[in-house]
Amino acid sequence: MKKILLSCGSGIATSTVVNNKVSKILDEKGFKGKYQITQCSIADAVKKSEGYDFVISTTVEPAGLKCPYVSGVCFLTGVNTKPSIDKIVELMEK
Amino acid sequence: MDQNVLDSVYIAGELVVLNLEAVDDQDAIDKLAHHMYDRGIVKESYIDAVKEREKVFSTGLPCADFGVAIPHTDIDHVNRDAVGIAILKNPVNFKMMGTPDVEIETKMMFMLALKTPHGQLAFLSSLMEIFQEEGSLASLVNLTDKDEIASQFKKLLAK
Repeated sequence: MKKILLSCGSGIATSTVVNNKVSKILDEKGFKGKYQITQCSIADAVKKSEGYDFVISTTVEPAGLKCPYVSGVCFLTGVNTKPSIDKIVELMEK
Repeated sequence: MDQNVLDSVYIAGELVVLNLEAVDDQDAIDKLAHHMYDRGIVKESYIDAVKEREKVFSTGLPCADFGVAIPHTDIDHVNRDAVGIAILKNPVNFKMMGTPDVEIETKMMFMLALKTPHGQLAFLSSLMEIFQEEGSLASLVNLTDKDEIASQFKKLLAK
């Protein structure tokens, strides 16, 4: 079970959309039931990151993060999603 | 999308500002936030909060038709789930979300007033679909009537 943090500035708007998109992608790629997503603000993500496998965020990578970071803005715009999807799959297979 | 989703977020001609004149992103946000405050959608504290948040977490997005920005801030500053829409007289630059060293030339702002944490998934997802679909934003930006913009926006969301 991979533990994923999904964050944005406040944890209420864009992370909600990205959470939904990423869940769909993970399920399509055969990871259904193999992950758990927690949504929060980026400030909380930094504090929580030690216990998680990776963070997907619509913000810049914050200082002090204790797990890998994946940019999630592409899931909002639909532009250039491949690098982020590839990185997520790689982290899931780790 | 079901009708309930459209009902849960207030979208109306009175929350549309046409030909908004602004010198920069902060000025544009200030004007639309005041417009929403004057109509009771947000608390007075929203105005400074949304401006400050934009400085830390920028909201410019490169979309299929042109750049937009979606300024928003914490739920405590909001009275009612709603979206304010501004069409800028002249585009201003917003910093891109997640990549603040990239400037996004922005023609439209969708200012989100969200009161329910994680509560507007269907609405937000539909909004992003509009951003991604060629021709959708273009069908809004040249309309000259506020009510028409609101109803066309609702039509796009319900697609």
